Amino acid sequence: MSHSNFQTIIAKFFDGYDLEKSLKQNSIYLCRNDGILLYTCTGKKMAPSLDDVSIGALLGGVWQAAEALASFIPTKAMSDRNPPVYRLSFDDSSQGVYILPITHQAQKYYLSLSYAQEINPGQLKANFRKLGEDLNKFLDKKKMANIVTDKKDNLLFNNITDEEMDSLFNFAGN
Amino acid sequence: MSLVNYPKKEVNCKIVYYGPGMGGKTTNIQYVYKKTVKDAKGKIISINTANERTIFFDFLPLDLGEIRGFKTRFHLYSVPGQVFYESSRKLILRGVDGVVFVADSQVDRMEANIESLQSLQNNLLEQGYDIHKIPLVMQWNKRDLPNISSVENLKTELNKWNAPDFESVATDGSGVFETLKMISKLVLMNLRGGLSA
Repeated sequence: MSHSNFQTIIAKFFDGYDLEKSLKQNSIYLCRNDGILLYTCTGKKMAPSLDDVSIGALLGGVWQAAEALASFIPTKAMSDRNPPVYRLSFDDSSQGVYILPITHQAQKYYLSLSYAQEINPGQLKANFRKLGEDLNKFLDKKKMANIVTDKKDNLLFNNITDEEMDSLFNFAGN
Repeated sequence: MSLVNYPKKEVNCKIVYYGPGMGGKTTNIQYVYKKTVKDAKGKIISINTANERTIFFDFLPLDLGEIRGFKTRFHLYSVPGQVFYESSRKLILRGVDGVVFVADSQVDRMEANIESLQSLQNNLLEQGYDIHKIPLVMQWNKRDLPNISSVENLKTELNKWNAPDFESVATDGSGVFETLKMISKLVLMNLRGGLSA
């Protein structure tokens, strides 16, 4: 399934969303379950270390690993919520990473917050959960069925030549 | 599960290097990283054990440049090869667009190759992929070592799908880019999205 205009729709949501100040100062990422990053907003509190694409891969990986671990929790231990809605937190008292799942049309996405130097991370996380809920509502309203997937079955590229591939691989040094 | 972004004219694809433990998957990715110009690559991420065996995955993002007006970005992953990391391998195969199977050519590793290939087939099936249909390239690695199987034997035992195959010595880079170029081509030609060139 090729997600075509999804990134544009996501960008529109964030452009029009009045982010709470503390969220703005930290970093927000949205990626697909296979780690492809769809949105990023790096706040000034964050040091640029990893490139965004790598962050997507790590987010997808850490969530899926946690999800696999959680599958060992006996169903009896779960509350009557079905299925359980997990959140993933890796933090100390003032900094950390917080990940929420966003599910849309049976497709799972991960919305992540990296934060630092927070006096009240509980409040920050609550604001972030509100952001996640609003994003879910926004996607539902947008009726993404009509725009998420290009259902055309024809191939994007026909008959790629060896010359085109050679040109694509010019990046490789010797 | 590729991402085709029409407004940005960009495609993102996921390629997974699969194969038995110590077969050379990570070495492939490290070689690509080493030989790729700075502007075309991101940081390589490796989640390893203390003795540098892959515990979860290696990851390398590559910006290849443009094809027919589309910017192409490939995400290379390698899975942990050791048998007991089966659950990690399943996770990494999610959303895969193409697979490179890195086989160890040594005669005494044939059984491990077969076991790993079986695991690939099963795990793909679990994710809803048919190994007959997904872009697949076979790489016969470690061709420089003594006591290796013939290519004919490797093909007979491991390549019943008649996928494109390459001999390689990942430690010195021979065959590494040939393999990557072929899987990239197959993946790009398999992308569906509705635009004719």
